[in-house]
Amino acid sequence: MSLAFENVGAAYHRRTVFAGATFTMQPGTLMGLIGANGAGKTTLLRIAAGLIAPASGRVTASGRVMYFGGESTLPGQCRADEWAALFNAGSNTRARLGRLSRGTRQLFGLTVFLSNDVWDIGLLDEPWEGLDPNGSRWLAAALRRHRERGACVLISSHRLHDVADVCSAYTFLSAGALRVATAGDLARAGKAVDAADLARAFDALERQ
Amino acid sequence: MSRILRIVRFFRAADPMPSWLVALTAAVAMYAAWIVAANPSGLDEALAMLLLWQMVCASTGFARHASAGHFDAALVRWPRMAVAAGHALHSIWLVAALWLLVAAIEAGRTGQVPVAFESGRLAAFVFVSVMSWALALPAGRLVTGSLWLALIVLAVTTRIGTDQYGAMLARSDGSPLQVMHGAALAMMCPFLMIGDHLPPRDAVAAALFSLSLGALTMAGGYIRGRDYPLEAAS
Repeated sequence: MSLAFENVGAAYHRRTVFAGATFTMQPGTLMGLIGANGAGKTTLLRIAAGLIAPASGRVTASGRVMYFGGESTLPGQCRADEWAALFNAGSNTRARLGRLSRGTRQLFGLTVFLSNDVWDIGLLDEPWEGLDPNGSRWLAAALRRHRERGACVLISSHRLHDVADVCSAYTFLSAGALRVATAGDLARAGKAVDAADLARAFDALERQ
Repeated sequence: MSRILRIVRFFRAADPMPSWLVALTAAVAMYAAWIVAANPSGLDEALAMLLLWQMVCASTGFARHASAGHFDAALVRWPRMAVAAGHALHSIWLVAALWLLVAAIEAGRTGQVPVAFESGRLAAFVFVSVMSWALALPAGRLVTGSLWLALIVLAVTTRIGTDQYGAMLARSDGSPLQVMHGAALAMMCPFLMIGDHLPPRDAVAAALFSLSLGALTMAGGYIRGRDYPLEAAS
């Protein structure tokens, strides 16, 4: 159950998005992926999922990978109960996914994704988007549960408070540069990492 | 095989056939069954109708859904070639089942090997199934079927080249050139294989089977080889 990036680079229409991404996620790691819009967070996740071939380097996943790209990637014509059944999750909702509100669809997609333990490596793109406070709390608890069973999860998000709350390692992406830090690297003496620490680390990368 | 069936189940859920298409397919099925049951000599009429319907139904499309992320779960979970096989089966199975139903009714009435399994007719059905599916992959649902039908209508109404082809086929010498022309004609209008219009029949059928195999291979390569970046959701 690990995910290793070795010198991974990505390009889009011949433009380098990022290069030289090298880091390894060990079992039981929740890693936050933080970056500006267009920095390549979604591309990095899709490379890890095997949906996009990297322009350079390689990704090695030891364990079963599952990827959730957000509510917009759920097929709108599919019935909710049929979609849940595909992943051995239960749902009594017969409505088509396209008929659900954005937040409900996001929560439904995450519930299906996180309700089973058949995967070892999870990849989540902006999972907090559209969730209300109850949904956010549920997501944090579900992620912690998967961390305790040894799964590793890479989570892209702009919601620094939520990322700081659940993650123990962080990858910052900015203008093609990438920095990996652990909570220990960022924490100020005696304090847990918070959103301000993440913002400071991101700003420092931006200035480089 | 169970993996392929799981993939078919995924596509049935993620990309269900529109309800109007389901209703029309049910009507086509009932009409085809009625033709064959009431009048066995009308078999080719029923087969031609199923051929036409396969052009429409097998044209499911892939890239548009995949670019919206709708197929992410399948593409991440299963090998790409298995996904391609599952998507092909998802696209063609319904009308293929109707073809088998018509053949079964005919066999029940005549007690003989069904005409639906004759090499020319079967080649036409396989060719239409594979090409409608494969050519629609980069596009959306119904694209191949619509374009194919438009092409046939255009060829029939303008009669471009039909006289030359007619003269060529009338020679019935079975030469490679004639087989090539017959195959070209059958590719454009597979309905010509329903009945006994094209003289070098077995050779043309073999050409259609070969082309279908080639198209299957290329379509599998298309699904396996491409990247799936997330584009605007549809």
